[in-house]
Amino acid sequence: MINKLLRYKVIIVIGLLLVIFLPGVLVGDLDSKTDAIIVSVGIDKAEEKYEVTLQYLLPTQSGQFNKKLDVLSSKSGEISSAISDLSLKLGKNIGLSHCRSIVISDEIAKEDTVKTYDYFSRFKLNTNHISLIYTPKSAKEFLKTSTDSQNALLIDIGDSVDLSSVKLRGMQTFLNDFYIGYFSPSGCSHMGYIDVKEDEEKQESSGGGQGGGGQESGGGEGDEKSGGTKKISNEGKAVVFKKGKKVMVLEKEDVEAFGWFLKDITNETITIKNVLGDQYKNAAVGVQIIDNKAKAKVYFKEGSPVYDLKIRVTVRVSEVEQDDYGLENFDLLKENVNKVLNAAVIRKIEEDFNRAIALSLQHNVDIIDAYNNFYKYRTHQFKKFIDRLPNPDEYMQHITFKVNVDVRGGI
Amino acid sequence: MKSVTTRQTCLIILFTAITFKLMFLPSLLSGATKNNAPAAIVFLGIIELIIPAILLFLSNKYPDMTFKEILGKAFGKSVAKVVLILFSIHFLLRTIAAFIGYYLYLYFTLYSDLQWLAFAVPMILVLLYVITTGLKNIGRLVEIFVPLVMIAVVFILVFASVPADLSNVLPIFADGVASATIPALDFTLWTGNFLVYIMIMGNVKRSKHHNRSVIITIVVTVMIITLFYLLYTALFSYNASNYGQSNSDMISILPQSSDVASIYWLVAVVWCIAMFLYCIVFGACSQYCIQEAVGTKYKWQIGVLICVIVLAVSVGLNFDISKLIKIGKEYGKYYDYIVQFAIPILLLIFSFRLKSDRSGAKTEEAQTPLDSRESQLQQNRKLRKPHGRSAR
Repeated sequence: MINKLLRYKVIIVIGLLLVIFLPGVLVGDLDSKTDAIIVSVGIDKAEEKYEVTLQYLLPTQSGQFNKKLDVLSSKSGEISSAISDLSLKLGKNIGLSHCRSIVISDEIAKEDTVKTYDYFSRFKLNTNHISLIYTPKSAKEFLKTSTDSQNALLIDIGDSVDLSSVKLRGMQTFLNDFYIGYFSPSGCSHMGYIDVKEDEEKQESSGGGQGGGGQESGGGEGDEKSGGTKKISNEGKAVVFKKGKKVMVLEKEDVEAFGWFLKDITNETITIKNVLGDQYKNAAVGVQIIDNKAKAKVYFKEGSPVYDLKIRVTVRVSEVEQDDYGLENFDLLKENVNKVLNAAVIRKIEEDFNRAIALSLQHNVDIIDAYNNFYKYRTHQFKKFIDRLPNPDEYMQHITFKVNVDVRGGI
Repeated sequence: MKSVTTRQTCLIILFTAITFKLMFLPSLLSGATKNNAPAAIVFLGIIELIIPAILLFLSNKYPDMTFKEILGKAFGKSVAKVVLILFSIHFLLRTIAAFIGYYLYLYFTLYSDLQWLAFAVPMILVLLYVITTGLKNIGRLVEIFVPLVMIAVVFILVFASVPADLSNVLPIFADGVASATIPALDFTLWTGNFLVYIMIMGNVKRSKHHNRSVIITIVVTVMIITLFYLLYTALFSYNASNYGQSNSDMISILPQSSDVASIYWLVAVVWCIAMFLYCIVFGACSQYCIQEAVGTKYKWQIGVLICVIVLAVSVGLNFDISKLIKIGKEYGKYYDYIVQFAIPILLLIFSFRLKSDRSGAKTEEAQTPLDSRESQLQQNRKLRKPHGRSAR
């Protein structure tokens, strides 16, 4: 009997598999019925408790998403229990796999933020694509406002951060990058700064509609939940953290200044004012960066570390504004990026470099990753140097910083 | 009867050496060696090369003899059986580790609500069926699926190399050579994959360039693994120990993968096949060793025993691979040192003594276990059909 059965063992195995799997597949609930898709998470802290706000959407059984986003909050001592509470409130499983951003308030940023992120880093998340956002006021308010904006305009707040100058300047804001910075010897990380502001245009017009432009998005139509007169304002600022704690806020110009230390920046435009010489007559010239290669060379000179940054920028003139135009302004044979403009770009980059170094020294934060550079390429010398210092944490003060800029004109 | 071809042999070696090393180990080595995983894996790789070097040497010396026959010739029949049982336990441990790893991989990448029973029962049934079908079928299975796995590996390496910053691999040996390499010796659960060759010895239809093919395969294997670890460290830098599902994590770092996701899913699905295939190959190795020790007539009983042990231990450990790794780090490594290194080296030494024994310079030790069987083995060799190199 057994021998007879063994002749059909393949069929038996397949049959057994079907018997085990098929009922589960046929009877089980669809994910779209049981799960809420979380788009963003906001975290505030009040009275020693976390207030977790979820921005979510509910998929319908037809397989289409209900486009209307909503927010829901819960307070608890731990992030995990707050999320469990939210799951109960929603009556759905919390699906964090599509989470695009985590927003933290100033209260959270003041303490060790990594404690806050721990839950998300352990959860089965695609941490490489979660943008971290700092908002100076309330993360809950931020998500409410962003929900109204997104419902009205279908703007994804994650896209907004991605396209901000913070991203353009390469100041990475993903969770993985934050952790890399946190665990690096300098302990320095960054994230984008986005505020919630009163929408003056909206307040003036009673009908509502769309407001803002560029990096700003307008509030929702007549929505009362968030007052309807607030808007998300991304001005390209960034926040610097040291060992997970907020150290300083970088203004847009500061972010741009630090951008020169990064390897690849393209499509960024800088404006050089009062350009004189050749075809330019006291012109304001918009210069677009086509290519930027920055390479830090680190070495020791007479026992002290030298950080020598070589920047090679390829630029093109994207706009010229001056009172008196001449044909020479459009002459193909005339070099647009001439010596005058070249010198102006070099001067601008050097000013930015000095500004960035001054900020780093002032706040004693290694935003330019100098420690890592010395540690990678001058490991033993740098270790000895650090050991010699009375206060190793202030190593930045003892490094000599140099910059060497090479500007080339492109088409 | 010769069961596998040289091509299948190379694919088995390539597949078994790579598959499990690209899971969990990069993260564990990064943590243990303070971000020096590439240096640690090169060190492990060099040590591990002892195994194929010895096995290939023995395989060339006795091309028509199975591992059991070589063991019997060197140590005597009873000792050979004990050694085979030791090897079967070695393979069984890897089968268990891969089975748990497979479950975790599925859980973390594809089915977050996967119930262990729904996973374990059908998989164990399939495992039981395949490991009892013999080496020939496993060779064919590997021939079908390994190219798919290799495509996934190439995908990982190519796509991960785009955002990777190789300067993150530096500094190498910042805290000395020892701190970057010695901790790697704790992770023997991931080494010894080349021992799979013992199942193949004497059962391979040797092609003209068998040795060259195997050596090239081993070199390619070492290169792929090293490149993977370099890219892994280059991508995750100081946060490397945070990424346990190394291969899928490397793909998920691609900016476009969060939206398109197709490459991620491709890698995840193929890796699930790879993990199960790895279970099958090592389950079959364990089966082969026990069968060689106790006899082929207990094929099904041995298969059932292996599957029951795999299932029981996996469930007993609650599918928590960290417990298995901890046991391996504290105690298992000593067992592995014996099986992976001591026994092959001893076998090599004994094989040299056998040579001197043949040339007439007999030693007292060499006479006792070997002489009584020498004539029998000669007889066996005559009875075998001439093949490959021996035929020539």
